[in-house]
Amino acid sequence: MQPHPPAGTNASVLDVAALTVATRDNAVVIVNDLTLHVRAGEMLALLGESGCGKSMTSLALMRLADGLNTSGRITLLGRDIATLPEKAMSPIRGREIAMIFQNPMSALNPVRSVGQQISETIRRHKGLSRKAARQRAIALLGEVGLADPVRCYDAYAHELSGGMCQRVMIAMAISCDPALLIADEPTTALDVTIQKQIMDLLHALKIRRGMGILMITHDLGVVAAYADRVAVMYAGRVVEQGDVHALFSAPHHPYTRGLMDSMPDLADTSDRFHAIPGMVPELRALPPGCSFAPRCTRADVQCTHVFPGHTMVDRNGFVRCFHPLQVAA
Amino acid sequence: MTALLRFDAVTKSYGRPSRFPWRGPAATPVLHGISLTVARGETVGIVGESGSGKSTLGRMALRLVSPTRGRVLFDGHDITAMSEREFRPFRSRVQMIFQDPHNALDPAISVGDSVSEALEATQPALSRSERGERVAALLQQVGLNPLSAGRRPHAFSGGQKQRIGIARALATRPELIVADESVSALDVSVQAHILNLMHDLREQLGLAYLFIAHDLAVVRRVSHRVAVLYRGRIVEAGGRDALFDTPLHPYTRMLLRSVPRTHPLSEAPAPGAPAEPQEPVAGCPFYTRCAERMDICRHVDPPARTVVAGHDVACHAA
Repeated sequence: MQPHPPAGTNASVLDVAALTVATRDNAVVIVNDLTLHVRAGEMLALLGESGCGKSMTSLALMRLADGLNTSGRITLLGRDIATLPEKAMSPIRGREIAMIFQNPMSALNPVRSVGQQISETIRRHKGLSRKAARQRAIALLGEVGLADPVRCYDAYAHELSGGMCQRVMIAMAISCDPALLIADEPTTALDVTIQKQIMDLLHALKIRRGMGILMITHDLGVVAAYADRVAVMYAGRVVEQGDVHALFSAPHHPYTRGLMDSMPDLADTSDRFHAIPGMVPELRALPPGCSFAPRCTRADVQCTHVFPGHTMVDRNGFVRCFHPLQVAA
Repeated sequence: MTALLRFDAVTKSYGRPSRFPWRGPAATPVLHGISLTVARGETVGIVGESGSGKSTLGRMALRLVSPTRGRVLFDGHDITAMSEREFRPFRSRVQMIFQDPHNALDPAISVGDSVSEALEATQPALSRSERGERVAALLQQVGLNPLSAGRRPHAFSGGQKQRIGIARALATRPELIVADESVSALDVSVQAHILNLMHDLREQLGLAYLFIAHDLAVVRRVSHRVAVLYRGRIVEAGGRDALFDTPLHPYTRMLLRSVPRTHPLSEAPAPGAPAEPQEPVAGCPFYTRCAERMDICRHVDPPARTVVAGHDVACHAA
């Protein structure tokens, strides 16, 4: 197994270039020319609304986008995995990239104890004995903050709360020290107090283990509080990317701005909510030019003909817009 | 003036009552001594985590769940004691909008027929053409093209389906709408559209809402008053600004601290909430998670008391 790049360096654990996912007949492009990277010890948030292609991106990265046309490069720890045969890909899943999902209850096997499921993963990838795997599973359950790891080991999914199940999923995901964790809406199904605990846990693991995290989410609050960088997706494309602080302080893309304004804020007590006019277009019927143009107050003729290219806004950020909100100096 | 909806010391327990009363009740109550009113045209927000009983409370307003003890009064009439026939005229006066607009619509019939069904059930005197006109007007009212009435639910997006759900609820000309997590399944930009629609409808039609949600920022914006539910009890209730600006109960404060910041540079979050709840004690239901607990809290369940007019809290420390 390759050693992880040390935390805090600029080494990328994941480098994705020009990833495109389309249906077999190429009629619908679900993910379009996506380029991003995740460094060790960093959380990159992929932010977008339903149907923007963010979950499809995560599946494509895991090489689980079956029956679809996928192109582009996916470099994991310096090795291109985009074209690996399934036999070579299988041991990488779980060991080098792990994934957690939105609904932890349904991601666990209901008829086996959660400890057995973690042990199985460890035994499969690390070849440990039954007893050693059990020890390691119990240690992991403790590491993810479950109060009584020995008792939890023998528990079944239905005996645990949603938050506890998500902790179990995290324990399973980190059991083989993956370099990259893909978290697909891991807190959407949970209560706010539990959401905070789970996000705090992921944040701690990121720092402690130097793991890269790709956080797929629609929740701007989660992004603002926990992510280091963010990529904003709209209708299959990343339209803006940058450091969280820079992006939240001065969003460049009108869509990012609109999303931020729609988000209810505890401090704001006005009656009406800011809403972006119109609706997200269907992927099978995208407007020509910039996909956001029909909803955008800044759009002109150019926007309805050509999709804007990447404009760098600072060292780490770009925007794809002909009329960004604050033009970089 | 009579409140439009009044919960009067409502308790609900599930499960069979024990055959041996001296062994105590068979199940812990889902709702425990809830008293709450909703005035005409008022929005009362109910916040709480999963399992706090907030959905049960909403369903009780529609008489989908009957209380084990206590009464539910609609416009001064005790709907819990009514027969099905006596309740019928009240049924159209309260409607519900559900969390998942997809599952709330029949996939096999057109959305126009879905709305029309509600009209047939409550206003049987309408002719077919009158019904058609009403359906068109209702779809228009919620911001949909009346010409799309013939399409089935799968042709609509999540936000549009929720609009259809609202049109269906409005068909019976209700005075109160129970909105149970009605926007939590929607994307943030869609959510804003639906909340604006609900706000406009309240102003146009004088609707009252029982607005059940876990998103505190949304609840603050839409509600006049807010009640915080914890394990089936109202631990704090008050005007929205009083409750959000000067929360009195440790649980309310914990909830407010858990709300994700909307900007990375805003105030850093407070230390994490205590771990998963453990077995409850005889006293305060929040005891095991409370940072400010005292000895008395273990043994004595704090009664609700009014701190300032309109702001109630059930806590020994507050």
